[in-house]
Amino acid sequence: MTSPHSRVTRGRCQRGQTLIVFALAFTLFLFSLTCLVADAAALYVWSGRVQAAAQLGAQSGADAVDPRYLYGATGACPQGAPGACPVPIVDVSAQDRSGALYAFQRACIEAADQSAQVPVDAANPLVLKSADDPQVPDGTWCASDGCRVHAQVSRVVQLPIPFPGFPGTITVRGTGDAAPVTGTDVATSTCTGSAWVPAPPPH
Amino acid sequence: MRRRRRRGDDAQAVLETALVIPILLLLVCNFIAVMVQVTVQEQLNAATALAAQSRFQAPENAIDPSGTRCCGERGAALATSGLPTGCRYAAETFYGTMTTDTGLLHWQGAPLCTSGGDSGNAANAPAQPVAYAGSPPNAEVSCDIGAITPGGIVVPGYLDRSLNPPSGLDVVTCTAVASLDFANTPLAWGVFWTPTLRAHAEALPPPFRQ
Repeated sequence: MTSPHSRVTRGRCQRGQTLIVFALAFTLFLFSLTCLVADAAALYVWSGRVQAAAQLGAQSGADAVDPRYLYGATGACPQGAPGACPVPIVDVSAQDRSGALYAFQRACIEAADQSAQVPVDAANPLVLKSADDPQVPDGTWCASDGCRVHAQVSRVVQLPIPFPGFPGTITVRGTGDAAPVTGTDVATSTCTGSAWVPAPPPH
Repeated sequence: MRRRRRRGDDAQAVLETALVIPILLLLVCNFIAVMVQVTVQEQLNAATALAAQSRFQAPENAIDPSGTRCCGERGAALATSGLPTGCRYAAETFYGTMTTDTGLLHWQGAPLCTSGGDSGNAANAPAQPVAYAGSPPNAEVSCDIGAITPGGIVVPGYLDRSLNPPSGLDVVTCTAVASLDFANTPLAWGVFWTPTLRAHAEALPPPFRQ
């Protein structure tokens, strides 16, 4: 049999317990909400930035083709063969090339990496990647299907307030396509019908 | 006695609510304003970068024929005759990209098409770009673009001497400045700042066009 005095004491204890549980739960809720808002805002900003970088990269790649090809000009034939030959759309000859990438890929990667602020080292975000840096774990990949330049940009984003137990970084991706065009008042696209590069482009 | 206490509690609750709700609304207004500012800034950066890049889509050294007009903010048209076609391409790209929240922007007008800027170095003084003759004076975007006139005169673009030193590299730059004004929106109730947004982009000529 419980006395009225002990019942009152237990009621007070339960009220204290409820208060503590509520305080802990509410703190957790507020913290989660803060994480969600801050991380969602950061991802929102970065997704827009990376998408814009992909569009700029693709555009930059499309502008880096040989314009003589677009106007049907002819040039010297490869390996000193006599006569005039059609100018290739990309720098397929060894003397025009610089490194493993074609000019359009180099321009595409440079523009997109700079625009998406992809760092060489995550610890030093001020030094940004260039076309010669490995484009992993984040960076830019550019290729062409013969009509357009396709750019894929990925950027590892550090979340401002990572939730404990969850990853502190998320990779944001953007894609863009652009075609080289000719014309002054009316743009005319030029498709070669096949990929511009003789082999799959380096990834 | 109990009724009087309840009335007192009610009055206190009303007073607390009256104090807290404006503060919460102020916070919400400013959160939304910051979000809008970030969105517009990102859009401005993208538009300026794409505008600078689009100069290279124009045929090299092409000049717009007389009577050419293009794009402009809110139905206005810019006369681009006699200017490098790249200027018109840059403007079209800029206005085509700046599509959302533009009603909140007060643009700082500048000549659409300029030439001859120089970043400078130890041996050369920096130089400000000069507007092309006939360039629209109050465009929302201003681009420094080189060209060759029909008479064969070379008009330099912006010389960035940090690239390919010491002679530098002739690049294309575009700049846009606007202030974001919330005065005509419901946010004006709680947002008391008018940020100035600036975007500057530099596009390097592709290897086949250097």
